[in-house]
Amino acid sequence: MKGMGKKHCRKEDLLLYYYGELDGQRCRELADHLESCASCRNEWRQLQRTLDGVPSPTIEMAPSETSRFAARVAARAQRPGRGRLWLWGGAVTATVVLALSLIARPPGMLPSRDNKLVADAAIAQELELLQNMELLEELDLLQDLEGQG
Amino acid sequence: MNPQAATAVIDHAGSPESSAETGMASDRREQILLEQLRAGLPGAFEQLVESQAARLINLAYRLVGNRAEAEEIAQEGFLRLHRSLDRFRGDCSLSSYLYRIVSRLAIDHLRREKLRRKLFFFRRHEDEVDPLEVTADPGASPRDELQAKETGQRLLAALDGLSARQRAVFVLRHQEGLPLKEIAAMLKLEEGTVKAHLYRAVRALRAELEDLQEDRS
Repeated sequence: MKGMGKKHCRKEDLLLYYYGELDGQRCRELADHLESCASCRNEWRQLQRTLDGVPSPTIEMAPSETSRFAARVAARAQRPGRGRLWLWGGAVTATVVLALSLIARPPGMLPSRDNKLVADAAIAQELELLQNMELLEELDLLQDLEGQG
Repeated sequence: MNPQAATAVIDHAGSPESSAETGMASDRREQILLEQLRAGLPGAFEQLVESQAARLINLAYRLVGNRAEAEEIAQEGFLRLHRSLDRFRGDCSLSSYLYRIVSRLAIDHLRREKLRRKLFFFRRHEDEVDPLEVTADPGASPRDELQAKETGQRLLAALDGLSARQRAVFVLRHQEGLPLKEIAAMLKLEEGTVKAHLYRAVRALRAELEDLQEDRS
């Protein structure tokens, strides 16, 4: 922001200035500029007006409410590892259900040898093998040529 | 110093000497409480919750905009502290630690809520407690009350439009008065990222509240 005399303020800097987050030198420069630049002063006032008008909602808690809340939280804290028990319980149940459904599955639920997907995979494997063999043959050819050279 | 920064200092410090004394006394009290907690003294945890509840519930409330959810988040924060007491090394104060946990829990909550709303076209119930009714000034005229209510509703709508992090950064800086450096440490972000979040949040809020400002000026 050095020598900003005639340049307009960056909005980001105005915001940091509002929150007192600009360092000393930059803060002074900006303050000086605001005194001499009507456009930036106008922008600054608008920013101030908006942010000053933002309310801070606050819940006023009566002492009895706070005590009730504290007692509730303390009681929850005394329940030993309930959360983890739930987690473990859920995991075990899910595993059992999955195992049972696999055991009791009706025939044809899992892909058989005849399945098209399996067949496609087998073809792909064969093609790969074929390509590898071709590569090996080419390599042999190259070696032969090298030997000849 | 600008007005906001001045208010923040007054709110958090008072006179420098008294603030130093209060701070030391509070640190000592916290240290004793921590030792009692680790020793398993009955009632120590409840005492800690009671001393921090209002502050943390209000923080969560400003972050998520709903009292019941705020209480849930604050409760979860306390329970997490209770579970991790053995691992708490005391690098920061208990209250800062709790502040950090609750902020992160609130961000997670906001993200989940956004996703839930996106998936199920979920909307908040209209009959939920209005934040401005909670803070209504008893001496305000009906016109002022109406304006405050409208501003509050518009603010909530504008805050809902922000990303979870933008909202958290704005609330922590503007409403909680925390320095950007502290917010960066709390949310494990670079200070430059925090500044960018704050700028985008304020830009969005200004766009949302602009016509309201024009009507009143």
